[in-house]
Amino acid sequence: MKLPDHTLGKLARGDHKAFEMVFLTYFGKVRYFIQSIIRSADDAEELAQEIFMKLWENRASVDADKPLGPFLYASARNAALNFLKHKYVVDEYAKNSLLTATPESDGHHVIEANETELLIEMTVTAMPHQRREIYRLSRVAGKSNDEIAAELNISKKTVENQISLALKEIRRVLALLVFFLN
Amino acid sequence: MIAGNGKINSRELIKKFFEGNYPTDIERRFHLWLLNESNREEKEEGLKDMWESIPCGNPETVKGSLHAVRTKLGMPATTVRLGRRRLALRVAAVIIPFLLVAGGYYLADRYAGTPAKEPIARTVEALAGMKVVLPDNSVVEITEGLLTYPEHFTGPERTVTLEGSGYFEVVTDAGKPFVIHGNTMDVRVTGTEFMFTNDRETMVSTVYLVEGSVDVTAGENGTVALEQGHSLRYDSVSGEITIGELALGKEALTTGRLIFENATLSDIINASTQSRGYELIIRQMDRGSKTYNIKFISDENIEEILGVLSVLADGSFRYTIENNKVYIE
Repeated sequence: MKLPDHTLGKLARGDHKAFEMVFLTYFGKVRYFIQSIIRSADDAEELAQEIFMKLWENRASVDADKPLGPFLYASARNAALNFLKHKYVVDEYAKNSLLTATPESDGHHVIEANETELLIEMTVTAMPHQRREIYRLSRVAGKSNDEIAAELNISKKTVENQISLALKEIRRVLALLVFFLN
Repeated sequence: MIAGNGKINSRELIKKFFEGNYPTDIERRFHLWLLNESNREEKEEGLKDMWESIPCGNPETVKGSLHAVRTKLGMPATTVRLGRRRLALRVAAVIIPFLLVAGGYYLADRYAGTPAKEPIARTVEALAGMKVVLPDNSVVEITEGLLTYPEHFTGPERTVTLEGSGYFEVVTDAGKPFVIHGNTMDVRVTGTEFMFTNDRETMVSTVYLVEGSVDVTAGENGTVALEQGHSLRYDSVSGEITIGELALGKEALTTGRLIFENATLSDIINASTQSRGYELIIRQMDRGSKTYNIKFISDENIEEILGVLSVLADGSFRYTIENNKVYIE
């Protein structure tokens, strides 16, 4: 959706209708972006409103010759990340091995290994229920295909097919890595 | 043992997070990863990708927020004139809540002051391709539109509302049916895979049943039990229900891509019309045994597809398209 010509110029001069045009055009996108990161609809609403209130308060410094998108992106990104920082109190979690390298290992690889685990976890979570359950029984609980088939009252062939599909999904999202799951 | 010898694709991780719903512990781990200073540039690129992929959206859904901001800033009320397209959206926004009331559920929007009959704790506004994991671990791949669902399925049924289209993989629970309220049609299942589409412009809703069984309630036609491997199309304008054999697989249903290998002309036409939401009426056609290998993977509409097929078949059939129906003769 494109703003009508001269809207930003009018905004800079304090035109209320221009502000509303900008708001109606971009607010939903800003709010959705923030909410997708922080996963709280109420907080995303409040943060998005604050961004546009600040835009109005600083309207005189709006550059009418530059698109507004990059400014709104930066504002939305910063608002979301600052919200998360306050939420998690990053210093406390910096001691957690999830974030920092241990003295014995290469810090880069520790971070990468956790990103891999996270990507796998997210992929597994999004799988259909049966596939997810079979994968977890196989890879997390370490059960055999026969044991899984008996526990879930399904055929061994189904178990094998679902594990194959699960691994295929995981390999697809980790396309740049070579890994072996035992 | 997991061995890594490449760089983690941070952009892929961000994209996956944006596109799905995850339990709290995974959300927390993702947030901490995002806040970490490692791979800062790749993370920035990933966030920018997501920003660019988000459309500006429907202005009607932010009017309440605008009112709140105007009040906080002490601004006088003004009226921004809507263009014709936005006027159509406003009209549609009025019609759709009325349709949803018939199903007993509608969107709760506290700023618009429209009370919800039941509290809807979470609303997901989906982008094409977004996969949602519901509270019962059923999965919905939303190809277009808006899915509304509660944070927990506490009642005797698992109920969601869909404006648009989605591919459902419903977890089996015989004691707690899964109910989808669409614009003009309701679908009730206990566990199955199917595609459900609502076309707001044509007021046609369709269920494509890949696996399992569903009960469909549409208009005054009562409840129809649909069998696996069949589709049910309901035209709420004419009141007509059409049941046919399902000619499409999951990929064609969710992506619209059609790939035919050694397929006869009648099979291709049947699958193509079904894929694009049209009813096929064959008045006369030489079905023949000649087969074709052809792909339609660029979002071609039905006119384009039939035009290509007509040339391929050396004009051996003629077609007309009228009122969401394709006539072949």
